[in-house]
Amino acid sequence: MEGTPHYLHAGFILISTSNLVVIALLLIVFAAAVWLRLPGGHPSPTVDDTGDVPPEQEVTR
Amino acid sequence: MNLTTRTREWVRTWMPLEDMLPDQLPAFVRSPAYLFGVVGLSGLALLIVSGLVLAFFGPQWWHDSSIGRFVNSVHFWSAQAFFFAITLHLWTEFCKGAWRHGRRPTWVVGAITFVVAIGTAFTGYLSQTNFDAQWIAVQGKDAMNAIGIGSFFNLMNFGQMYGFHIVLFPLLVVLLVLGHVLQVRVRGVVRPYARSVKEEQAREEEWGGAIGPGWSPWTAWLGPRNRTERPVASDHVAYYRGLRSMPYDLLREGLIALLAATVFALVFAGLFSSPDDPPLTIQAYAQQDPVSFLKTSLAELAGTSTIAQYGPPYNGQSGSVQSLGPVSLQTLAGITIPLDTAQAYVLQPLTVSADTDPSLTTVLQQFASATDEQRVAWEKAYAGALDKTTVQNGTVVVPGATDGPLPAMMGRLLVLGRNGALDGLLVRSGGFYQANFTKPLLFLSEDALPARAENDHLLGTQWGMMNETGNYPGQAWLWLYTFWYQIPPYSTSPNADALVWGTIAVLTLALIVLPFIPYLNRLPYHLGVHRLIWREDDRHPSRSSERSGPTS
Repeated sequence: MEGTPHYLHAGFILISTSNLVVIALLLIVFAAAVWLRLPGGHPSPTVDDTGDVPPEQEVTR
Repeated sequence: MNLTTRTREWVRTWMPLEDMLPDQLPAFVRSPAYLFGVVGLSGLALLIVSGLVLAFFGPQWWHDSSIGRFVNSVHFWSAQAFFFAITLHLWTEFCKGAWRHGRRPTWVVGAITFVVAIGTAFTGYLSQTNFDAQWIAVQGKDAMNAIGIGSFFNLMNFGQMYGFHIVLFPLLVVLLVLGHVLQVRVRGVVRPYARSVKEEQAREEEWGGAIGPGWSPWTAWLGPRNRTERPVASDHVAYYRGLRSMPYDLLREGLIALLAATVFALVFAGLFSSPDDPPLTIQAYAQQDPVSFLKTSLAELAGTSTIAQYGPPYNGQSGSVQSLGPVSLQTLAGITIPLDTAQAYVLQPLTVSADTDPSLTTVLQQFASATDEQRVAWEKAYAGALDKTTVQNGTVVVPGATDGPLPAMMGRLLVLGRNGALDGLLVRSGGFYQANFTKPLLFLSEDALPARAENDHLLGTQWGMMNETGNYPGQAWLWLYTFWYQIPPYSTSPNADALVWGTIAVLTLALIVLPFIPYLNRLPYHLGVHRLIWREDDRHPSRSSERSGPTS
């Protein structure tokens, strides 16, 4: 990374390749984070006749 | 009541251990969007550990020793990981409307932490003691001076910046982060948005208090408050009622994040090291470009240089004075770092040198006893001669002119520059220890530093505030702050720094108080990214079979 720096010039925008990579990574990771789901967790709860979540699956201390 | 008892009851109510270290969390946290906070914490932990090692061994160590260089690189990549994570944390929490249901203080503390972290990184760049630090110091000084704080927060004073970076700012960041994490654990993470605006508003009123336009709390503050009807904010059971929970191991998650951040920092430090271009010295400047050195020195002597014409805090001129409308904070702050460029850069060093050179004393006396008109004539003649000056085999050949004692004076100054004596003479302050490089950096900022910075694409016109030397990533997360410099009217205004800082101050304040700004504080609801973070099953478990989207 200590070699000749590379830059991209588009109109009035001038950005280093490394900064562009970081910004692209930020956007990609952001998109992935809101889109993907973490593995694990319980399946959807059984909904009873009243439409409530059974107490044993609610948030407890 | 007993103060100890009251404190214990307060802690018991607001910070029960079950909420501080829960082993069950609502199932809607099953999204990577909840991981950036803990990754940021891991980055901060690495920064503290590597920073402690760097502070222990001192600035020379991270340049001179291979281990020091490696630890410095770990610190650099930890900072990259930290800012990468907290930028994403900020984005995702915004999309969740994380300030809802009484969590406005949590957002405010988090946003302040982000701003203080930027200050910490900034002073870190200034503490590198390399070329990048030199350039950032001389570039940033204009912004500090424009808002009148250049003398209280002098970027060219390494001792001050180093103290800020290793003590004051980190202490503030750690305290803010601790407070932020505590706030998150006391109230828990915010629930997904309700199916309808009406339902969401009802929940906001129940947990956050009365609401105004755009779910703003202003009217709640102005009107009567009835806290007794609201549930205890730390009651997670009541807050998450109706939502599924899932087993969760926060500490395990934290350890995995710390391990991942550590591996990243170690691997990248090992593979890529970190930017560390050697600093520019006056000696190197005088050796490599003696004619420019002489021209700069002459401008300092004649009082025509940028610094000589700068204005506060260095002198009473107005060449670089900026204002916001009719107000100039720079002028109001006054001359707090007085600098006579003729004395500082030419006459005083030559006077010191004259102790061992009686002939120099004579020419200095000739210059001192001349009239102002005579001096101006000499300076003009010498400037003309410098335009025709050549360098032959390292020898500077200045054509003859009616320039009085100036050839002898400037010739001797060039010798002082080339043998490194001027570097030392400019940091003399009457004492032994030196940590303030204001004078030499201002001298180099006239010509030498900009020339080298241009090669590294670090100039403001090159979007340089975001760039790093070499191919290393710079401060990409600062784009919102720095891109103003690239567009009119900022890019063409003589008050660019004052204007940009005024804009940044407004934007930063808006970021911090975002939860209180009517209509803007419900923007995430309409953006709809929250529908991706919280799937239907998590947001409305009791109605999962309906599969219909929320309405507004």
